Formats: sequence, C-alpha cells, structure tokens
Amino acid sequence: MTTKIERLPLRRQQVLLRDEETRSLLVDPDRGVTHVLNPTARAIWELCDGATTLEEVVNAICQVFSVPPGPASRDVAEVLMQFEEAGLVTWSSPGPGEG
Amino acid sequence: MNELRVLIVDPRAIIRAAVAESLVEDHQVNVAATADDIGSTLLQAARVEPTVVVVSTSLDHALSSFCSRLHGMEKPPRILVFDAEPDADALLDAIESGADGYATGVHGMSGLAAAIRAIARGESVVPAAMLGSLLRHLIQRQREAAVAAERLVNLTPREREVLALLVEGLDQDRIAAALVISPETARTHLQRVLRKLGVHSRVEAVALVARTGLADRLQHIVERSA
Repeated sequence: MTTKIERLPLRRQQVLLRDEETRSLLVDPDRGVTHVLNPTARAIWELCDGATTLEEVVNAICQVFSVPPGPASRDVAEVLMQFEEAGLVTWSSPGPGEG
Repeated sequence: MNELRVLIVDPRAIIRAAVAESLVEDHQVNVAATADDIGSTLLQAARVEPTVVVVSTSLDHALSSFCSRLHGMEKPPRILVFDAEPDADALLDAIESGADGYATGVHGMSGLAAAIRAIARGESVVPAAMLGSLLRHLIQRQREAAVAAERLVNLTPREREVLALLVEGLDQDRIAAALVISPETARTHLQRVLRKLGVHSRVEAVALVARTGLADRLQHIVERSA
C-alpha cells in the first residue's frame, strides 16, 4: 500500500558487537576503531538490518520509554547519523520496481 | 510525602521477606508494605500510596490486569516487574501490560535497588542487552497489527460484527441468535472472515485480534450494534 521510498540502515557485517560487564562496544576491525554504545544506541544497532524503517524503530522506542515521537525521532536519527559518519552502516537501496 | 515508598508483591512469603529485608537493611530502600496477590496489593497500595510497586513474575494473575488496576488508582504507582532470570517473553509481557520497567536478579539486590530508584525518578528500565530484541518484538507486533488492520478493512460491516462477537467468546449458534440470522448464514460469515483474515481457525482469528490490539476497535462495533 505504501508508496514512500525509504532507505533503510544496514550494519556492516564486519563490525562486531561486544558486550562487556558494564558497557557495549562496536569493534571495526577494518578501521581498527572501537566505539562505545549506550543501551539505546546498542538496541538501534541491532535493528540496522536493512529491513526495519526509522518510523518502526521510533514507534517501538516511544512505546518502551513513554516518550513523544518528536524527540525520539531526533534521537534515533542522531544515532544513525553517527553510525553513518563512523562508516558502521550503509543504506539499503530500493529494489527494482520500487523506485 | 515525596520519599520513595515501595510495595513488594510476590506470592512466596520467604522471597517477599528476603527481598524486603535486603532492600531495607542493605540498600536503604523504604519498603512500606508487602503483598501476595492482586487483592492484597490493592489494599496495601491504597493504604501506603507506594511510589513504586515491585511485582514478581511469579504472581498468579495476568500482568495486564494487575497493571490496569494499579493505573486506575487515584495516585497510580509506577510499576517494576522483577524476574529471577532474563526472559524475553516476560519482558515483552511487562512492557505491553503497561509496566514501567523490567529488572532481573542478574545484578543481585543492588541491581534491583538501582532499578527501583530509576523507576521512581520517572525513567523506564529495561536490561540493556534485552532492549534490541524487545524493540524487534514490538516492531513485529506493529507489522502484524498493520497487516491485520488492512485485512479488517476488507471485511464487510456484517463480517466485522461476526468477528467482534467471536472475539467476545460467542459460538456460531449464539452469533446467529445475536444477529438474528440463521446458523448457516453465521457459518458462511465466519468462513469468509477467516479467509479474509488469512487464518485457518476461529481460535487463530481471536488470537490475531488479541495480538494486534484490535479488540478495542471491535468492541466498539459490538457496542454500536447492540
């Protein structure tokens, strides 16, 4: 039914998520860089599967944390921009016939 | 009356006493009362007006009903669900029931005390390692609800009435009586409803409606047509 074309974040397979006792890390072996994640960023990372839309992530976060969609959207977008700037995610393209 | 007051709910007396004692003695958390079931919880909550109710997953009562009864109080407390071990299904049930958080015994009583204080501050508490899978489950529910809503739109008004009555627990003959139609006509409607919803049985249809949160919308259909 939807005609909206949305690019979906997809985590790079080479990047590894590592949970330590009190924090979570993303290890990028290609760049030799390690990123520290807060719990929300860790959860968003898990949802960067190339199939989940930003709107779906925001709705779920609003339900769990009882926050309004506006601030939640900004926070999720901010995390995704940081992932993109760090080269941790790519963006899936619309498939043939979708655009 | 701004101080933190906690009500511990667990059906097991020994666990209730041990949790309360540890919170008070070791973590300086004010446990104002304890309770072992929904009835005593409501009585104690009315008496001590707790800031936070900590409810065990061992409670022999549907969590959604437990939370809605507490939310209906004049001064509704915040609700923290406590589980011995991490359980993804229990976490999903807690959040969908309207609890403000879910904590496990993994980090001991100090972890529970920290979760209680966070809940009292107005934060939501979910174990960090479980948040991703919780969001994924909720997104799956959203998708199922969207598909079900689309299918519901394709039902005729009569078919929606039939579905609403099915969700209410009526069988084919009682649906027929309620709508003043023959049992055969009711059966035909039911078959069409199942086909349009893409399910194979009446039980599946009811489960789909319950899972996707469309029961309230159907309830309005029943009320309007009554």
